[in-house]
Amino acid sequence: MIVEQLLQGFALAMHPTNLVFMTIGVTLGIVVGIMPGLGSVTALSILIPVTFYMSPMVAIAFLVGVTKGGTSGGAVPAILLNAPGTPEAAATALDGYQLTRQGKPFKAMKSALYASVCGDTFSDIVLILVAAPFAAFALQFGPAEFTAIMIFSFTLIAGLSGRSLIRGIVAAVLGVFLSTVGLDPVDSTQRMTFGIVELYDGISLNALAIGVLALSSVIHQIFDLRRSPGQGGGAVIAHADPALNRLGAGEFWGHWRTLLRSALIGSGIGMLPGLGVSLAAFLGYGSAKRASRNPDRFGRGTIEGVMASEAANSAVCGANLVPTIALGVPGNIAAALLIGAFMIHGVVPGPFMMEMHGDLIYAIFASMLMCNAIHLVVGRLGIQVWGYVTYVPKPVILPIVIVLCIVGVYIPSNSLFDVGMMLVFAGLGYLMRRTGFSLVCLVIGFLLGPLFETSLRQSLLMYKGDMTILVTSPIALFFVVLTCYSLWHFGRRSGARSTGQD
Amino acid sequence: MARPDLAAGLVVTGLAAVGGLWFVPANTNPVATAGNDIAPAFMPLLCVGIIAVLGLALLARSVLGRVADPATGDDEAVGDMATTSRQVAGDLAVWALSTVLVLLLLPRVGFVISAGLLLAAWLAYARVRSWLAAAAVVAVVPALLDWLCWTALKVQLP
Repeated sequence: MIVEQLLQGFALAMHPTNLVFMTIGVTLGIVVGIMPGLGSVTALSILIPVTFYMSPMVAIAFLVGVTKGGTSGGAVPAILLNAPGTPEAAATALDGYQLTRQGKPFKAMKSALYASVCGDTFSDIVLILVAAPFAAFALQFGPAEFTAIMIFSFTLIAGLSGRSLIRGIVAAVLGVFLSTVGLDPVDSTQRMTFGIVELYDGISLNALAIGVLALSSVIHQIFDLRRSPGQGGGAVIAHADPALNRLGAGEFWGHWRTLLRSALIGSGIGMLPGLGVSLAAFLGYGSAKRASRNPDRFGRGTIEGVMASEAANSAVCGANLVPTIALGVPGNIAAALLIGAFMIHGVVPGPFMMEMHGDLIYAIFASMLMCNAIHLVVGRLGIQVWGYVTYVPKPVILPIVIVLCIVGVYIPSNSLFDVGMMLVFAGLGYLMRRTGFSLVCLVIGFLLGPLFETSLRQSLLMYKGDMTILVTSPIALFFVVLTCYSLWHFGRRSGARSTGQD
Repeated sequence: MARPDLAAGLVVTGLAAVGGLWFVPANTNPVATAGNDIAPAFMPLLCVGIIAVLGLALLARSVLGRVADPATGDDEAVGDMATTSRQVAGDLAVWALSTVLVLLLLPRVGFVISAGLLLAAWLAYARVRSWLAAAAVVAVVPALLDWLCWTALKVQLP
């Protein structure tokens, strides 16, 4: 059944337009990922508005390509400059940069690329196998169950993705609060719109996501550059010895256990909301080191370390779409942005998505697998070129991204009001970055806010305000117990750390 | 070490109090208009209430003298306490000025000139070493984006 649907998906996804945009997406993702400080989240934020003019399948495939390319692109500056382009590539730098110092930058980049594609493909297969049964199970969920799941997701994401559980929850609830601006979903009365027509449909997701995630990151880096200039510069790769940089199939596949282990770790972490790509990379690296017969080689320049890290962080990409597609709950910030893209194109993520848009979903699955092949080709062809992208200095790139953000917000809405909102949210995001409030929680709270409000209001109406349904429904009770455990666990951990530091 | 929590707790609680006592009730219908439905103000007030409670928790933690938790995940938005609050206020003032200028210039002089001026200002602020590169970026990027948006997407930038 799955194979049949997947073949139909391939038939749809083989369209030349789709192939062209996937190639562009992967290439853009790699290029942006290479630039330190930008990464796939920035690329996704800026490029989502461009997809307004595409069909849903082409748009999602394009954005998936950006995510895949961006995740692996971060490895290039990590290997060449010891300056990870993305946080998840930090573990790659441990061995990758040592390989560059030994005159093997291309060998390191090749092993990173191949491992990344392997991890990604494994993760996509997990997604294809797991998403449909998971979504079918989720069809049994009613409003009370969804309310309990949302509360659990907010707690888990707040506990894992921020510096403090309390600050994380504050950020998530602020996101939910911002999502209530606009017309009330039931009786259409205005809520905090001040009579501004542009706010009747609520705060623009583009303005919030681009402002808070991309633009605030850019201005954060510009202010840091101003205080400590001299960052940036290119890698020296021109005189690498070809003999030292050859990577044979035997040498690569000799580490198949490491690849499989890291892919499993990445996929497992990807399926749990909030755990993050960086954690997967470091866990993959750590487990490879523990399992190795020669753990001393790690950190001194072994391709096994590069492969472990890259396979794990790339394996998060596909698996984090499992909760996204089955429940409408994003696994990480990239998945949250993809949810936004789905919604922009009229596809509401959640258990009904497989029923209502089954053809589209399987076409996207097929596109994801094709993206991996494109990623392999583009990555391999460009391996000589990527190093030169690192020459572009940050002080030149960052102001250009500010202008790109303005264009990105203006394109879909033709509204200067949204541009203004984005600039304001960038200031808010910058302040939150400096004060330790999680931006991930804010954006996820904003995205899930309408679903949370709807399910909570439906629960209150159906059960006449009796919230004991949250403990009488077995599924809801399960998530309430998980929420309580998460609160206790994160609270105890932060308490222990506080005591330790006191 | 408890000062960040104290400041954050005060700001969060203060804003939540303003939101709960004035902002939300003044700008949202507090009574349900449809049958037994929940009032439109319910969700915003619930959010503000939760934020107020958490703000008080931050205050309580600062009074008890506990430090803020260290980073526990991969969120890039980890607070940077090394930057002083005065520096952050200065940065925000620069950003606010930039925002006001952009919003004033865009509808009046159009995208190409506004973006050129914005790029020039931020390139200078970021201390670009090569003035030739900066001039090239200022001259080429806005015009190129304007042309691309019109040619590829038929979107006329302001």
